Amino acid sequence: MVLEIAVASGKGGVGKSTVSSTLALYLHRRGYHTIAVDADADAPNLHLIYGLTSWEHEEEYIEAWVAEINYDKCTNCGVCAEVCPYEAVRLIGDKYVINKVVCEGCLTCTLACPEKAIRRHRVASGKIRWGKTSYGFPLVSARLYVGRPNTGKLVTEVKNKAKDWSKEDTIIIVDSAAGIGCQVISSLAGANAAILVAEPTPASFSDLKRVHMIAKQFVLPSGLVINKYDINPEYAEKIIEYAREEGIDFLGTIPYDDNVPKAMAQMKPLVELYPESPASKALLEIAHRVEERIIRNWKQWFSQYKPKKPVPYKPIILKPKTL
Amino acid sequence: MVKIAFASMNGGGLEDVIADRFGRAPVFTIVELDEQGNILNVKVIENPGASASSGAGVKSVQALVNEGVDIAVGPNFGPNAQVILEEMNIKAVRIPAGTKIADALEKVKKEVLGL
Repeated sequence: MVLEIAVASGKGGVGKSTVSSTLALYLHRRGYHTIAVDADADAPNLHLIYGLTSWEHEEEYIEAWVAEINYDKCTNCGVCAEVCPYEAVRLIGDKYVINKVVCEGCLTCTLACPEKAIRRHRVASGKIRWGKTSYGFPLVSARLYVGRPNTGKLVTEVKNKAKDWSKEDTIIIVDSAAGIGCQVISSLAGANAAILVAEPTPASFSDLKRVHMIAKQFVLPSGLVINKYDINPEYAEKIIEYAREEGIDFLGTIPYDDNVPKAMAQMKPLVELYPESPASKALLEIAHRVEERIIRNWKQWFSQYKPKKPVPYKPIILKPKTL
Repeated sequence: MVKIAFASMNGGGLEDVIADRFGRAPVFTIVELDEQGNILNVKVIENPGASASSGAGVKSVQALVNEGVDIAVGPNFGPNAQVILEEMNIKAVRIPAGTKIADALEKVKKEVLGL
């Protein structure tokens, strides 16, 4: 069975990429057919950790819409600028111009234009690219252009690319974006397990609980990693206690270690560059636990840590007032 | 009479399997049963959620509502899909991805409809 493990945290900068990059490298070295997926198209940087500087393949990701004025028909009436909800149309010199970065392609101006001079067409919102890391396993990644919205569909496309290459028992490691938006939902949807990374701070704990709600919604068994454990060990215990209450498998802690940013600066995985550093040792122990507990004993781990029943993460629905 | 929609991985139909996601499943296989559980009709519809940039769950449920579906079957349901299915009184049934639709149908007949 293909095992897709999503690494998520809610809060940014707590160590998702450090954990997922180590995990993919470790599993590859242990002989598993491994594919790394960078699902953070806003700020993709898994390739930087692996020192991947050129891609085997890059393709445009066409999704967004923008409006365009046909100046042969335009009479400069200014209706488009009036109706645009995003204030994307401005009078520049003697003509109205649509700012393509601000335009959301919502069709309002197209419908409002009395001369039918505005049409909307598709534009690339980013790139999907892939290549082989120098460590021998593939990485799929996406990169958005400035101002283009990140979407669940883009994450789905990137994950599908990895699935196309999957064999019987491939392990896919998905490095999710921060937050709990559409792209994070898409990172967790269809995954088999979630590894949640936190640091011992109230902000990280709060965001962890939010992303864990999504994992529960998808009935995903979850594991917990606490990074920079020693900056606040007492608070870390609170998060570990939460994991125990919620039935999350506590996979271990990583100490604060200066070598982490040093390795990033040199574009090499920490465990490659400083294998003897405290964080490296901790990361490898965690990767070993992931292999032993989750991958080798999948059925048992799944039934032990599967959320009991889905807890719907209820959005607030505003209903129209009945008269 | 009851209508059951199965999130389907490939082209849909009883020989296809349950997709790995609900909202972004490529197609839905809709099976219509009579009171005794006999199949009256099987049809396949495109899932508009599959290609939606966002709100995949919402769009897929809308398609099922348009079809008058009573039961929705998927591996799991996202936060939005779950809430709207509840609002629309469509029963959400979880059956693992990769299960053959024909087997999933038997399971629904037995465990949900009590046939």
